[in-house]
Amino acid sequence: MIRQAIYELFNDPIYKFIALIALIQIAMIVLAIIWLLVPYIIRQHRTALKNRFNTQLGNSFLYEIEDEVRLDEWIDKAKKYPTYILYDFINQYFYYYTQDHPLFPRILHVYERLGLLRRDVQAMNSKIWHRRIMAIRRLMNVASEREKRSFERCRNDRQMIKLMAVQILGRIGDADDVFSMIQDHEIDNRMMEQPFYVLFNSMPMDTYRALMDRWREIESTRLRQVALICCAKRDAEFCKPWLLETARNQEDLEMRISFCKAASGSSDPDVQELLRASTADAEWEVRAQAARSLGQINGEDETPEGRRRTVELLKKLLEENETSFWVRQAAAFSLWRKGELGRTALEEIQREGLDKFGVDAATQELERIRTDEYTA
Amino acid sequence: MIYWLDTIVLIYFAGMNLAYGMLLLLSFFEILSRNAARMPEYDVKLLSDESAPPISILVPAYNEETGVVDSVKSLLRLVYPHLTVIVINDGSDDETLQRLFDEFDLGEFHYVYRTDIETQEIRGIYQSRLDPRLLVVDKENGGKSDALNAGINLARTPLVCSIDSDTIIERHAFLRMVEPFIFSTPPVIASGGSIRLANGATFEEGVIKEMTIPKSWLARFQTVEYLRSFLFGRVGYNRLGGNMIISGAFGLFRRDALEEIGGYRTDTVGEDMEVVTRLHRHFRDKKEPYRILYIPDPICYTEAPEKVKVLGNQRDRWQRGLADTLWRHKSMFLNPYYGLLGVVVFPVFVLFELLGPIIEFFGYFWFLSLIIAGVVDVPFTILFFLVAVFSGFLLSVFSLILNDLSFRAYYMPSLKFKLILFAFLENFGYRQLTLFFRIRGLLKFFIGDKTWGKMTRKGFQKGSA
Repeated sequence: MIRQAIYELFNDPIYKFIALIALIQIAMIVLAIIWLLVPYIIRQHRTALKNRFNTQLGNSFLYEIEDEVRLDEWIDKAKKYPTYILYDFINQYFYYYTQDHPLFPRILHVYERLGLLRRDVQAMNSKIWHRRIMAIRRLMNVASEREKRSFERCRNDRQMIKLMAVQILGRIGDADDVFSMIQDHEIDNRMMEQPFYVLFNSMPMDTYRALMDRWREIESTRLRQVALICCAKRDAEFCKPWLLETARNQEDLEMRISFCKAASGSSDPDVQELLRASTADAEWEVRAQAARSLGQINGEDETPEGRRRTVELLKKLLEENETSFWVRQAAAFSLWRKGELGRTALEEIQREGLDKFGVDAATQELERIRTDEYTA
Repeated sequence: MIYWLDTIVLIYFAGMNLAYGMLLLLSFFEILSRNAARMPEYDVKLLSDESAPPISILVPAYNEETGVVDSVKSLLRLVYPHLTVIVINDGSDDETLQRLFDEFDLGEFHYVYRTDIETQEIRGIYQSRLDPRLLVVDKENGGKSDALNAGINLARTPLVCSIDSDTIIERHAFLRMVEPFIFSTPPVIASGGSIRLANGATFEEGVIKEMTIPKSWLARFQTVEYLRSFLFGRVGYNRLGGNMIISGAFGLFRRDALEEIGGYRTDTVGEDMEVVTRLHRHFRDKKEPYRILYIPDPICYTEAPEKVKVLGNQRDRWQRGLADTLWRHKSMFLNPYYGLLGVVVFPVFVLFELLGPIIEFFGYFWFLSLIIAGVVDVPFTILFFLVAVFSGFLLSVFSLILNDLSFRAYYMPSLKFKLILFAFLENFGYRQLTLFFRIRGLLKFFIGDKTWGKMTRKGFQKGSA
């Protein structure tokens, strides 16, 4: 019977076909197992090489780069090592040393001398996006004005590369470079604003001021909003004309919210007055943001009279016929931040309030154990 | 008759392997892309930036006295700038609430609870005096979905993360989880992370110290199974219009999206799959661009059952959840309106995940019948058996390669060899055992059983293995 089975196995075409599949599978399994072991062997080899590099060259690096002659020798020796070792080694310095660190220019110089910068710039033209993204990630901290053109070409690239390119241009380019790059961005929700907060907060102030001169031309409302908020935070006095202009723009809901956000923490009495006025806006989103922002104005930035009026307004929002839960919640939260006056108002509502929600919200704020505003 | 049945089984088998092979290939591309796009250097910017989106972690707890404290401690240690941890005690009969009171010095907190989604009655809300980021909600028992809905009501952050109370999350996981919400277009509304087994791992203060193979054989088989299902399946679906499952043990959602669809359904045992499928439908119906992603690297650890009975409860519940979700959303099946999701992903789930156990069971039954009837084709049977075993084994070994490319757990060759061995051995016993539980789950689904079944935990302890 077994002989018969073996005979059929080698002569029936269907059996042959299935046997072939089984053999292919076995071959693939063997290859896969080898593949599983290869990374381990490679990694062991790389670790050994890295250790040798560190012992031979890495440990004395910061000493060697002080002197050009010693550095020449160091570079000659380093170039004998594979590029990934050099990248790994140098990048750890870029990771920990910011650009204002005294050693940063020297390390950058080494990066150039080793030919790594040139390789990265070349990789930016690669058709394989993996290479482009790896290159731009490395260039994030090391690129200078000379490499500007490489980033300008990224405007039609993938979203992530575009975002990194605009952040780099924010550092090395001028306002026009940044302006033309951000025009191509679309932001669909608040979370996607985060990289632009990073951009606007880290741009050199002069470049940022020049960008704000073209603020009205920024197409995306959300981007205009982020730019305004960062501007108000970085230089409130300089930002005032745009803030006032936005406050007067009664047609666009998003811009009214922007004003309230940007005006948070403002010490300017005119801006504060407009912010108070926004608590009567027809849209709850604006009222909620205004209530929240009023709470973020510090004691020293407000006159006693201004503070009294703010507390009165917030108290009204919490205890009277406000329809939105979020506005009332924000009002309660902001009242607590208004010092003694605000807390007294909350206690009054807690004691004498007629509306259950108002009493509950006041109690919540008085009882809350706080860490920061994000737990609100 | 025999010829036709053989042909049907062969076509089904070939189709299944083709689909899984395709998923495997897509998973490779997806993991390589993810590796390139991953920006650890950006974590620093996120960490120091006040615009990083705040997250609330929702921890539903029902009779979890063994592990809840360790779990909460590890959550409070996570590296992310704006975190709130909301534990929802879902009417536990044990000491869950008391343990939390004792350990975190809870005080009653007059929190304004807004009922965006209907839930069972809230008994009280508490805040920790030791770490104000911890809120505890005590409510009447209503099941996991109800507890999660209560958490959504309480959360005031744009992102909420649903986890199980026995889950331990890798310290930097949220920095990575949040990235697609910031960088992806179209916007991401939900993302799921990889889940690994805590069995065999050593934890200290809720942080993983060492990853080894579990001592229990049952857990070893599940280790291979988890690697396979999370790495080659779910990653591949990213390229086919999105996943239909984000595990209840670790998923990050936009709160407004969950609120829009009315939160989790309380009348299903597969709430994690159902909510994701409903999100897909909702956003497709609204014609609003969106993405639901599975991210291979953010890791969380969960405890796998080490007892056959508990494993059985878990697996039959999973199968019932799958059947329930696919039945509720049956109009998506082969529906081009839902794009690749309707035409490819949904049918793959129906044909190979839902009906797979029935076909496999039928295969065993058919084989036995042929032996009894004395008409078994020996060479064909042997060859087919070999191909079937090698197919599953091949997928498992490739999943280990994907693991190497993504998270690199079990990096030592000795661990890999052990896993390879168990990937092979699972075909002889374990596979049939889970098949039995899945069939049982399907039968229970047909008779309308919606109970959860008991899940006992050992808890994560210092040096636990």
